[in-house]
Amino acid sequence: MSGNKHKILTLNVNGRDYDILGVEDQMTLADVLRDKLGLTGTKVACDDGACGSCTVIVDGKPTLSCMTLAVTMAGKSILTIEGLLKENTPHPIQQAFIEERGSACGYCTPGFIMTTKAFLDENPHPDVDEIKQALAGNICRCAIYEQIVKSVHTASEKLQEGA
Amino acid sequence: MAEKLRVVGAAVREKPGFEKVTGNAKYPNDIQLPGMLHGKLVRSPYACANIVDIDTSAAEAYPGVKLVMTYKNFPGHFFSSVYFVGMEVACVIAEDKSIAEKAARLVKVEYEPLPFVIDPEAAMRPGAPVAFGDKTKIQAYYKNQFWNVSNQVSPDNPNLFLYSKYKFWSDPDEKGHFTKKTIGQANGDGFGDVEQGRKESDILIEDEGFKFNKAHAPIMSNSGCVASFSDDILTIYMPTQGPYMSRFKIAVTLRLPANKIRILSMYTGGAFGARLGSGVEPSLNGPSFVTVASAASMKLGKPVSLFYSRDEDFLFYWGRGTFRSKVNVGFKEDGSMVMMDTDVWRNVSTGGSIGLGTFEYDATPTGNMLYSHTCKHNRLRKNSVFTNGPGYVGWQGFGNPEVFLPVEVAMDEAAEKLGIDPVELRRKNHMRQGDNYLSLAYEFSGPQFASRDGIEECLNVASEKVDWASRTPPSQKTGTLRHGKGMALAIQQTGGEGMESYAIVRLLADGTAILECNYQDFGQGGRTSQVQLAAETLGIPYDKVIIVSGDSNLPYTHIQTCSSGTLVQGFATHNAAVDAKNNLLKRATRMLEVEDPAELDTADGFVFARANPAVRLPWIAVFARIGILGATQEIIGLGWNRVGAGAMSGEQGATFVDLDVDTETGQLCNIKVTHAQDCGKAIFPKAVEGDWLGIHHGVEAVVGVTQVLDPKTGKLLNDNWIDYPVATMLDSEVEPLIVEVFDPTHPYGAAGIAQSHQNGLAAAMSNAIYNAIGVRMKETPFTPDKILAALGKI
Repeated sequence: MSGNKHKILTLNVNGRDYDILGVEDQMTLADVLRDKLGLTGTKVACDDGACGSCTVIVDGKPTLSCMTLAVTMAGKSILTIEGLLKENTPHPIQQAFIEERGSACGYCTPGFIMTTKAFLDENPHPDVDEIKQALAGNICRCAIYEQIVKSVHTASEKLQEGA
Repeated sequence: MAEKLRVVGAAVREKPGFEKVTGNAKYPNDIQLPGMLHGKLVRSPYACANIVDIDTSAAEAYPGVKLVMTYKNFPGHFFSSVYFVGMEVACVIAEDKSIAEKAARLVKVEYEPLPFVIDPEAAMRPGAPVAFGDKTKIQAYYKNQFWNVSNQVSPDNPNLFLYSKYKFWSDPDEKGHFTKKTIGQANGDGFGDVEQGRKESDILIEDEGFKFNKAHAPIMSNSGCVASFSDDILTIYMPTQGPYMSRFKIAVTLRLPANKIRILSMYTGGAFGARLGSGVEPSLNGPSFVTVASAASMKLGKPVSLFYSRDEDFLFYWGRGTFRSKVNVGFKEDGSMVMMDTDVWRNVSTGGSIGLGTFEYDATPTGNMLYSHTCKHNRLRKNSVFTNGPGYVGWQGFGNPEVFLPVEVAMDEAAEKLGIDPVELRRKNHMRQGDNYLSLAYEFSGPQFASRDGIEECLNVASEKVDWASRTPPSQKTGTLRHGKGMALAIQQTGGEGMESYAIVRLLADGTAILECNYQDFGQGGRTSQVQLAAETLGIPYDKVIIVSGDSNLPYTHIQTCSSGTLVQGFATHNAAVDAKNNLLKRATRMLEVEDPAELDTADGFVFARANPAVRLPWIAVFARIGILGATQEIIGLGWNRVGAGAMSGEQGATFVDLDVDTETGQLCNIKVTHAQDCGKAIFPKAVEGDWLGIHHGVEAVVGVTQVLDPKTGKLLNDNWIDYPVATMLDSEVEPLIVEVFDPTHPYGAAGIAQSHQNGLAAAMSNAIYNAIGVRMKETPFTPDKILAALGKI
């Protein structure tokens, strides 16, 4: 047991500050998001940094929350899948994933969408090869990869239209 | 059936799409309940051992620990012997995960290690260590099998399990169709006479020596459950393909009335066959997480969460065991098949989820179905082997990809010997409408035959797409990188006789409807297609229908397996919609001044007279007449469907592979799989294509990944996603091609779709490699070292 039991860790998640009690040193960001804040949209699949399911965006960069210690996240801006929905309207990337059915069982989907968000923020007009390279670290066991690539492509078009 | 389809086949917006993309979808391990406790299992480090004693005092004394479960205080949940490394021996229940994990390390287990056997070839030799020492436990295990198999342990070697007698078999009748024969009538292992077939054959092809071992690796969401016992009702949140099967087994194990067990399973994560039993099977390979968590919750009166970590999941999802098969195929000079003789041996390790069920399906679709048009002499002998590894579970194809490899490679070899193009050889011999369709493991009350001809069109579409005509023989290939084209047929039995499902359709006054059925959707898009079927039959838009599912208190649906959802449940859903519609029309007869409801119809939320569609009423008007004090009633329809004997649909497809072999490194590259499959009718086309993109998953198993058990300890060496590298989007390219040949056994012509795309893949890859470099690969995975060895370079 760490000595942090009564310490408060403050995390900024989806634009809101949370004061969190009882965060042990070894707890990952994924643990804290899921178990402490109830933000279970962030999924843990491989728990080894090998599948991208736990991807969140920290200060604009895609970050594996299962490989990140929560105590190192103070003062940073964390965006999770729950932060993309604006007043019940899905983000254009989420809309694209629905339309193109870039989600089968859905478990890996939040990770894919967060990776896509960070990627399209950097590269708004990617080609297929760039999409594949950017998302190759995300695993979908249903393996609907061609439909995911199509979703990302459609998302980039939607974002362009909206811009 | 509607003359023009409006919803079926349309590009609809998937029903749970919003929930999945927003992270709102709650999978079982997302469930958090007030006061919830957490469990951690203690596992055996030995492959075979007796437990001398367990000391739980230190763990029990750890602050925050509520309960430590072992064979002493929970007999029937835990055992005093272990049969593989990782078998569960105890469980710690504590206030949080961290405490449970720490206390689990304090459980002291004293073992008496016993000899064990890992290699299935070694296990088959006389005098090998016996995988399960206690035979009475094995017998109990057989008795508890869900599947009714007729089988026996070999009297010579207790590691061998012989599947020597088939309960049902068939011989052709005077029309050439295959009919039921009883055990007494059939010769026990096939039809015709393979020895006679050998004599009649002009050429004989023999293939053997194939090993195959893949993991589900191990799906995205964790295995496990949250069990909550309150007021005599046990509620379980768990991933499962079959809530009713799970409920019944939990009821038997925990001695609870079945109606007091409720299983909630709305989102499960991809299943691929591995959620068939989902940890509730009575088996030799350890206790079930469901019954352990349930027993703990019943004891402590608090919700208990028990989920596996990734490395533990590898033990549960051992996947498909190592497999060896041998096939002899005989042909006439003109290419017509005369006989097929198949022997298979499967390493079932310690049994596993649904245990030997998959064993029943192995190889049944080849000689018996795929080539039954010409093959008149067929024999199939199966054996399974027990070893000290984790149990295995079903996967897409359910025991068949392994057998299609030698069969479809033998077809390729035969084509070359006979001087016939491989596609043409298939055209000559493949199953046609009316040919034998054997569906073992289900009922077999009468003749069963193929309901439609889909293979020919699949061959046409795919061979054109890949420009098959441009294929050149291996002798013409030069250079370091050599291109190859290969193909294989793939079929799969789906929705066997005796499977049945119910559905309820509730019509609401505002022209909307609720479909209630317990279709388990684990990524195949089935909820959407069920809604499409209901909406189409009711004549209302897709968006006017919602589905309620994922709850064992809903009407019975057959376990989602055997690609049966659209087929078995879909027909029940259609029947429920028809019943609801008829009840609506009956109510409207007086209002529309007709005698017979058949004179009426409904579309777009209106009931109208067929003779004069202008005379119509909105649903609300029909309901208003039957409502009292402004309350609107519902009109309810019940649907039921049961698969009978006779015409059977099933999956029919052809898999083509293009690839390059690097003759310097042995690497396979630029892998492109083109798979054409006849789905009868694509209800939700994007989901159909999505299912077949699962070929990526299959490619991974064929070209590079296998699970490795340390022969010295029996420990699984690659129990993570780094050492078991799963398919990424860079590894291969897959193009699914939808073929639609209306199937007469379904109201909208649909057939099952979700398995046969894996069946022909290994064979098509092997044939493509042969076409590139002229060597036959018969043992998966086709790794660079094996390819270089085959080329004589190492």
